[in-house]
Amino acid sequence: MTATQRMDRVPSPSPSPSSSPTPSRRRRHRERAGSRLAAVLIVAIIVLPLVPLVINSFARGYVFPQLVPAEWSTRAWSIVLATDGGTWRALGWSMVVATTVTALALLVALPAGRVLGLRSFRGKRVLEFLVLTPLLVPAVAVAIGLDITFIRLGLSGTFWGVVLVHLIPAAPYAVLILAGAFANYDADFEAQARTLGASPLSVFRHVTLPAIMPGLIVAGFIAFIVSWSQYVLTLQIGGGKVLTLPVLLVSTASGGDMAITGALTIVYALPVVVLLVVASRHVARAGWGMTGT
Amino acid sequence: MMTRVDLVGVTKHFGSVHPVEDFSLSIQPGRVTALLGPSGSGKTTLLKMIAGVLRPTSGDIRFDGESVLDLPAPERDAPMVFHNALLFPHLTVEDNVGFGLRVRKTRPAERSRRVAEMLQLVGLQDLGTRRPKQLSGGQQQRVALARALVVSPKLLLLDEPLANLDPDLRSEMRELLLNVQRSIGLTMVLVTHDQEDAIVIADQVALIRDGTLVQEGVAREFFERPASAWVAMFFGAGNLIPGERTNNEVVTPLGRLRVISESPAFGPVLVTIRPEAVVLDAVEGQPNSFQTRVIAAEFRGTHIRMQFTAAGVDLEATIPVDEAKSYAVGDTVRITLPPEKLWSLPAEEKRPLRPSPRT
Repeated sequence: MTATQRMDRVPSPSPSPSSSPTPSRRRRHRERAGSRLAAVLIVAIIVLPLVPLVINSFARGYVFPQLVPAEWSTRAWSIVLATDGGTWRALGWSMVVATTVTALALLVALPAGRVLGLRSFRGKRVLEFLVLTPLLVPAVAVAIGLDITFIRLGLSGTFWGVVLVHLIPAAPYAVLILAGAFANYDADFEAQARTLGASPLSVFRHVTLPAIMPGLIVAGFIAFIVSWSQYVLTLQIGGGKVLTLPVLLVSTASGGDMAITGALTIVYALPVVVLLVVASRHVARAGWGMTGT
Repeated sequence: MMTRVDLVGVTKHFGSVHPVEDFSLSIQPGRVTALLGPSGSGKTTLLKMIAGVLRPTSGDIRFDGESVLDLPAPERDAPMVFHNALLFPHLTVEDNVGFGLRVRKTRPAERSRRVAEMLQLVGLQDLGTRRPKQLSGGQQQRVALARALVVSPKLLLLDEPLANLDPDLRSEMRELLLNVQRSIGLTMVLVTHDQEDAIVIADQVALIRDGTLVQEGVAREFFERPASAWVAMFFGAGNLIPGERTNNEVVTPLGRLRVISESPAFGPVLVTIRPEAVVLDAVEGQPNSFQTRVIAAEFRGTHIRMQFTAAGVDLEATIPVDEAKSYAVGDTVRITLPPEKLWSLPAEEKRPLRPSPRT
């Protein structure tokens, strides 16, 4: 009995490379196949809905029950991508607004998420709920009332007015995601860095930031998407002066030209898809957390 | 570098929790001082206050006579080594060790030279390019030590550096700490709940209970001259005999016992003796000797642990293995408590007498 136990502890020679696949290796194989299937599914869910749009954007006179258009054309694309058209300007508005909203949302969410994630205090649950409320109340309900205030403040129809109103749904997401990131973070790492001589700025740059980077990327991505896809709030506060892509897209779609609408939708969706791919790569690479033991 | 550290009436309150209360201690330069105490006694809080990570509620902390209360942690040159090593997971071993130099903007050439030197010192010169996750617990602890030493600190603060290690790694790490201390000669403060670590590594031991200093001195004094019954229990003394002391005699249920004259307590006292100081098979007529009955004899590998009872008092003794053969449970044995080994303590209030030294 004891002899066999002792035998077990003797390091066994490493399996030779020529040996047949072990059960564990086969399992790993199956797991890899499974995750590949999942990846294919996710891509299909994101990419497949875009296919009819692509077909539409190159079609001329595409009516039911045709499976593929009878005639192809680049008319819609030349209109949408025309240098003097509104597309580029709208793309520019969307980019600048979404980027600014993302930056401001993260600026608010870093300290707020840190407190919610690291500290425990009386009323924390209530505070977390309050952070969530902007997501529970329909934005339109707030926007109409807010518009009156914004007109009084001279923010209506301005860039900053739109940015501010976008922060209402964007910031809570960022705060909650970063609170999650900080909840898995051991603040003793910062104490450790300080005793080794690191200034507050060094601690943030070399310790805190790398540790919460995955959360920061996800929070930034979500904030960007929330702002990028705002239509009602932009229209209400922007008053047609801040013409972002969704505003242009809806007015184009109501015009009834399916080809142009298709092309514009692709212009609208593509940056987000690219961003998603880039962000998910970074999150995967930054996948080491500074969690305590 | 040798820095003297003075803790003067240091107190720390977190709301209604008071982990450290009016704590004063002089930590000698160039020596190893152990802050020893059961878990939750406030010793890590003390260490963090010395490091500058926490600020005392009141009291003063002085390095070489000068108050450091307003000196932020990065400027104290007192790196801490945490019990779980806390290596930065996104950095290699080399970059972890070089962290303190990098934030001090040391030139890269100088930095890599000193990092290599420190890795050599802790015996990990071949693992510089590894990630912390690829190291064992003992190796991580060594890297953490190298990372603290590379900045040529005034003071090295160790928080349970041996707690997470296997027994053989523990003794290896103890050796390493002692070697480092001898070769660099810096002031070291070690927090531990393990009296053995404190005894082996430290020159000076400060025993803490509930955030206050209970006794301070060299390790031997805790065994031979404990300040209270709690201290005696913490250091494994099983013998506590109640009695009434006048001059150098204590009236106990076992009869009159003579004690060391310098024993501090008079009146109602507890008399204590180390289990290894009890003498068996005494001749009748010797002072402090009496008949007892054996109630247990346990083989403990290196020694035999005996338990006796007499007049309602239980006594404990440890004796060498070869002497033990002749005793069995139920035997009557005459034992002596040599007067020069008997120490009297104030009969303490009935506080829980069970410290929890993990042995």
